[in-house]
Amino acid sequence: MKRTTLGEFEEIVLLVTASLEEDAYGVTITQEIKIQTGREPGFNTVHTTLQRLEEKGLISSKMGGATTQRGGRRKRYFSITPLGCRALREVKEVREKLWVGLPSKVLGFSRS
Amino acid sequence: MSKNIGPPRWAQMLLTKFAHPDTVEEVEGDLQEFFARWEKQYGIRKAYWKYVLTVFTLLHPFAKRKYSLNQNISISSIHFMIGSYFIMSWRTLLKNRVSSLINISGLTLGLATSIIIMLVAMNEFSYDNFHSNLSSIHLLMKNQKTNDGISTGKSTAGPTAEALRTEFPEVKYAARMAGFDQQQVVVNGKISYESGIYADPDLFRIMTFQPVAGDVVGSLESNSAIVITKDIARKLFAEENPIGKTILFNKHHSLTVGAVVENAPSNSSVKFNMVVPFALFEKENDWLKKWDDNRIMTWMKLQPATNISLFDSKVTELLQQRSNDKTVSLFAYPLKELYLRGNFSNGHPNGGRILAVQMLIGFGVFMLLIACINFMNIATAQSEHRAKEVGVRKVLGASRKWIIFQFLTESFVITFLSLFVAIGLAFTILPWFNTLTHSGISFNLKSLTIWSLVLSIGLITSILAGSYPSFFLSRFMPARVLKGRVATIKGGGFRRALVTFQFAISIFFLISTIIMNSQFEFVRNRPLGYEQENLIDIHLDSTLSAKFAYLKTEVLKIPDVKIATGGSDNILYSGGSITGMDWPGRRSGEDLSVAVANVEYDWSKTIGIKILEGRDFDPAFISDSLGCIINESAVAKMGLQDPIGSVVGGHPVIGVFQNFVFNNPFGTIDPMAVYLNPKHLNHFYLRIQNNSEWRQTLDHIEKIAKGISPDFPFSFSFTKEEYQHRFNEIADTSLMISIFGEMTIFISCLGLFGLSGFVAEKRSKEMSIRKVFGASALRVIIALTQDFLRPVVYALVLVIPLSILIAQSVLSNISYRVPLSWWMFASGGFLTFFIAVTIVLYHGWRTAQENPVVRLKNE
Repeated sequence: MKRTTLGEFEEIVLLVTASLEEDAYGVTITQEIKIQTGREPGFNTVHTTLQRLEEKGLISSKMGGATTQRGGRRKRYFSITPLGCRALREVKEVREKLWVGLPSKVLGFSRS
Repeated sequence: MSKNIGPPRWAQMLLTKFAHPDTVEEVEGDLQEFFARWEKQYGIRKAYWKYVLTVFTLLHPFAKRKYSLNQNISISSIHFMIGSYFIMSWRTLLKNRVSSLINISGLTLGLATSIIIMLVAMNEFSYDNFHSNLSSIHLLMKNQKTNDGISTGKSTAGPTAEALRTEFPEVKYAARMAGFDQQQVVVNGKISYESGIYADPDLFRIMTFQPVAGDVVGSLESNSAIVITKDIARKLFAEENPIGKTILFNKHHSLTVGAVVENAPSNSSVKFNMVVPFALFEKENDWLKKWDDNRIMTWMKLQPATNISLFDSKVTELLQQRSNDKTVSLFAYPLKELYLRGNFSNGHPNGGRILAVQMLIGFGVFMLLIACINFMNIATAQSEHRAKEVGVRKVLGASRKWIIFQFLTESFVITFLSLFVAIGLAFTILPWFNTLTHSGISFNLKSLTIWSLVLSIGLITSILAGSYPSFFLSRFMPARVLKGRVATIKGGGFRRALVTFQFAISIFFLISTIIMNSQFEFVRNRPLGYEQENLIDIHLDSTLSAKFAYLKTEVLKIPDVKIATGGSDNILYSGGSITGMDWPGRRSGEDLSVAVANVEYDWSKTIGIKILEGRDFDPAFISDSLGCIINESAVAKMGLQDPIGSVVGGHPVIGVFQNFVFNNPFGTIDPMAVYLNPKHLNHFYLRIQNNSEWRQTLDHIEKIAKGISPDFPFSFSFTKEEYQHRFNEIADTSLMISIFGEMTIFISCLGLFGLSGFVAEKRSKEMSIRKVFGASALRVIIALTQDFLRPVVYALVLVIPLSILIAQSVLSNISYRVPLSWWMFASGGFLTFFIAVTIVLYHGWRTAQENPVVRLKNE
């Protein structure tokens, strides 16, 4: 199976989507990224990234029920797919392996 | 509620229009939520801008976009689809033979007529277009005040051109021109008679006639050379080189051929076979030096930036300084307007041929429209057959766009099939049409303009014919159609309106045809005021005319010749009319245009004109040569109480004759004065015994004439035939319009035939059931026909008052007009109604005769 590479921002969006669980849609994801990372990505960036992730099969989406809010427009809720989970795990594993192999003096602090 | 607190409308619209359709809903929602947050956080202004900015980044070219499934049609499948549409169209065409035949024949007739009309119109519009400086070429025309208003003419005084050339900087060139008819031309001892023009050399600097050989302008400047056309060169000199050859013109001018030009195009207002230097004409005619003798044409080429109205007033001022006649004003009229807009009413341009051309184009458009309506009606009436097809197509994923396209393809196929036949038909009809209408229209196969116009007519027709059916048929809902519930024929109302419209046009054309024919019949039967039967007009040359007295005595010796006289003019057309006549009781400023003619003794008796008062010229009174006789109209217009003895234009009136018709048989009879003058008699009139020996009598006269003037070709005409011939020329237009009128009715009826056939077919089950339940055949026929006769009745009600109004306004332009009567309208309406009833009844009758079992058993 072809390995899906995961970009840095994609990783963040994926993580945030996973962490928001049932409440992950455009607005909340953008807000959460801001809160968690301090970065302020444009909505369009988040939107396109979500689309790309969906194309890659890492997240799936479904339309929410109609509400009276937002002018009656429905929300599209995103949730992470098993493939997405695996991709995250793989990234994490790679990072951890790299961290473990890192000499402590390089970063100027010791692991205690 | 707060005012406009939401995001900007226009940006929202932009988003809905151009953002990706799959995600637009949630994106809109998300953005709205963002907007609310931003507003709280940064205030309305910043939120506004942030919103707009984000929208822009989300528009299609900036945002990544997935291709959705139904737009993913490859080019090759489009080719396949269009190909299949053509195949489908062809199959439908073959399947519904009757309706295809009706459609194609209707469209073919409409298109063929349109093509011919287009050719006629193109020919009309091409008049004089070959001149390279058309826009700067002008004819000097005159307006003359008379009692009946301003009369406009093309002839001006001799010295005007010279004055224009020398005194007006606006005038680049000016040339005099006068026509001549049947002058004797002798080449190598061979005599022929040719017509042509006298012209100043500048005429060829003003107009563009292609030279073939020699120097055209130089020849005319030399005063001793002549310019001839290619045809005349071939006729006079056969294959020899004509340049430098000698021509004896009009017996005493020996001229050399200086140049040869191409034949004047048939669409030229100025036509000639040969051009003789104007100086020769000037030498022989002293009146050309007078400022108040308007007999020749003055052509000009003006500088491009000339202010025409200023020029007109300057020229008029010049004329009024030099001429004694103060009633004449001059104006420059562009050659490009002259042919199509050459009519003047009270001194102002008032249409002309352009009206007829516009009318013809209108006819063509209406005929096509009627044919298109046939197509629409039949296509929508067939809708039931096609509804299922549309439903299945839609279910299989065809969008409405493609269904519309399919039906347009169908109309395209039928129209171009018809166009193909129509081009062939136009080709075959054209020679017949040309002889019928005495025109010379040709279908130039190499002309790109003609082909592109023909193709665009076809294209417009197919779109017009196909638009409504495709729109109508593509509207079907697949679910409803496939469940088989289209029984309620929608669009019936519109179809009825179309049928009404069709019949309104047809009835209108029919009534116009009837009125026009009765108008022509009316004029044809107009009492002429003289006796045309057995009246013969023999043309005289100057030699014969000089020996007129001898000729007359000799001819009168022939037993079959009853009586003879001479005249300066053909009795049918009175050549010249003059103004400025004086009469007793004339108020100052009053003027009349009076037709004048010179005659010989026995004039009234020979022609058969009744003398009402006084007497005709009589050899017993020598003083008669100073007198004149005038017509009733002159007496009435001048208001003479006691005409006999009063002096009119310097001549005492000795008799008053009954009005007779001359010049325009449709017009009023103008005042006329006739003088006794045995000189310049160009026409020898005689009345012969009514028997079959007339040919021998004429042979005898020819012998006498040849004895006097051996060179002159003996020619004669029966006045009655000439009149009829001329009348027929005028009647050509009416004939053309009658043909078109009949064709529109034919096409409409064709459509009605198809339509009623369809509906009869569709309702056949209903009718069978009615019959089973005891309805009589009559009842069935009535049920079937009333649906169709209603539109025809509406059309009648609509169009008859309208046509009465139009007929009245058109006829008011003709002074000798047929009184309108009810039968003209009634017969037109009745005829249409009758035809429609016959057609509809045919289908009604067939259905009524059918055994109900036939229709009902297969269910």
